[in-house]
Amino acid sequence: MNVQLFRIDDRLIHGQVVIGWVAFLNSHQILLCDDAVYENNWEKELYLSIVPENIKTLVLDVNQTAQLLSDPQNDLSRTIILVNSPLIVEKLLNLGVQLSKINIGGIHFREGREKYLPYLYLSKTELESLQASMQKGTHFDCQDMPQSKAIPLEKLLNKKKNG
Amino acid sequence: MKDAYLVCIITHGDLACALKAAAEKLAIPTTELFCFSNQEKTLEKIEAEITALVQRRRPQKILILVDLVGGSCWFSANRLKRNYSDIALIGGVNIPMLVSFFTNARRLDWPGLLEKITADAKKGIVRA
Repeated sequence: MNVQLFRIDDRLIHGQVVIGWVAFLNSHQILLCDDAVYENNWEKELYLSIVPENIKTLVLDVNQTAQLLSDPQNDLSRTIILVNSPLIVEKLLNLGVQLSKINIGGIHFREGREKYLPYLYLSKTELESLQASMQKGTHFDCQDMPQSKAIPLEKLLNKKKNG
Repeated sequence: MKDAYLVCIITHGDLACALKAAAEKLAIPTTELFCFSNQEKTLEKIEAEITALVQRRRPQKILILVDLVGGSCWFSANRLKRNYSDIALIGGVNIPMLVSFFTNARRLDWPGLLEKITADAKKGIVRA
């Protein structure tokens, strides 16, 4: 499946995505994959309200996203897909979706998370989830903004491990 | 303590506190401004701190100013607004807006004040 950008960002649709990535990639569509947002009309409307009119936006739950990603007929070459956690990626992989390359754009500080980059903090569960996805062949690059340097997660984890 | 107004600025980076500092040098501060940075604190923490401020100060009116409509601060402010229906939320905060607030807070009623500071913020954008 040729997705323009698959991004993990715990803030989902926000300035970095709408102003930064959409413009840089000339994206035509944003797909927000999140069970909670899908079920909450208030949040859904809020996210939809900030996307420019010329960008089509879909809000789907994880199962619907898996179905969409599994159908090769769907053209997602101008689509940014957003999820808020590595656990969603792992869930999609377990549902049979093939995800070769994923951008980690932001997982911010929270109690119980350890710092890896200024915009990347991971809990033990999230780290294990990323490692499980990497073992399935998914490559992760850490990059918050288009102009930032992409840092392979594997390299980052090895550096952290080796002190 | 019960103040008339509680005004909170939430922005990216250090902008909120820088705007507050600049506005307070240009006009006499008639209301205390509280500034929050989305880089220094999580959005959840900002929301919790503002909620605590509301409960502690019990203001008659609450105003939240954010820098970027659609940014993460905007989302955070909208979540607060959902919990407190009397919160007024304005995006695009700038120095003219804050100066206008200081200048007009005691002169205008609440709807008039909100209208005035929004208009003055827009007036502050000029192409020479």
